[in-house]
Amino acid sequence: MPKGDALGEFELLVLLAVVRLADDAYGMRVRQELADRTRRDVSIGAVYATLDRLEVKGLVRSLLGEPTPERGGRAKRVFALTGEGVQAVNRAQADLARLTEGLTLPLPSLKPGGGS
Amino acid sequence: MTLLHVGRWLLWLCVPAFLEQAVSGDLEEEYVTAVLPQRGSWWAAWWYLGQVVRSVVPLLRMQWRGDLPAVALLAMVAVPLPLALLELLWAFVYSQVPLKADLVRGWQAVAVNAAVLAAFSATAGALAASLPTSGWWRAVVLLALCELAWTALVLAVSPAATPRGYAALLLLLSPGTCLAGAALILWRNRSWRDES
Repeated sequence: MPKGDALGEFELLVLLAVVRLADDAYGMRVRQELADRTRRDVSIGAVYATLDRLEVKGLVRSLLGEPTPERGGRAKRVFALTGEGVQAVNRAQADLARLTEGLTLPLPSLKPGGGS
Repeated sequence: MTLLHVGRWLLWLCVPAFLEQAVSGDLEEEYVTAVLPQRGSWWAAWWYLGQVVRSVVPLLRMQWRGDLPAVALLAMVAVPLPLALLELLWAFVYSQVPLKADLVRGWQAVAVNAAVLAAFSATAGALAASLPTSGWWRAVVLLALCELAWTALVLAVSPAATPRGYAALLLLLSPGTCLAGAALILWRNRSWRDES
């Protein structure tokens, strides 16, 4: 796999949020899903920048949805994983499983500064 | 102008044209359905502005793949290059004059600087308005803001003395003529459409 195709941590989180939201995966819902499940307060711009990057990599595709009144008549852009996106998530999950195999998790916390 | 207006304007300026509906619609939806009912209008307006301010850098990065490089290049050629040359010329003339304690720029020098800057800036505005893009008005406003910033920077680092009136004239002139150049193109295009 070329280095540029590797998934970053935030990219993986966004992909997983898109999977969880299924047909409701648009920017605002992805942002809320990340806030609810990972307690990360990310900006809408950061979410769209990541989704745009994932679309360029071919891991997600987007479709324009219907405009609604609460959106001021503006259309949603709904995202879904592509086949490559599914493979990327499965590969990341498998890598993580192999690396954590045999470890006792969660790891014991260390004192600040790295000493045991 | 309220905080909400500032936020909406800033978002309009930064968001790439292909994401305008999605991003502004999402923010509007969350503002109307979640933040406003729970927190009230004052806090909700701050939330909206905060979201936009935090989104400026990622949105502008996405714009960089669109018209922003052309806008940045236009702004660079339209203002700092001619203005810096004119300022250097005046600094050279000033250095050649003996007993110059009370020497100030003559109105002719100011007029030449203003005319050159206006011509370059209006041409850049007209070119930005001709960009083959759905977000050309955004490109023009970004260009005008870039020109304003460049003018301020060149005047700040100019080797020649810059009286306040002269600085104010150029600071008004560069974005103003840029917008005027764009408006001229818009008017011309409309005239052509009406004729055809």
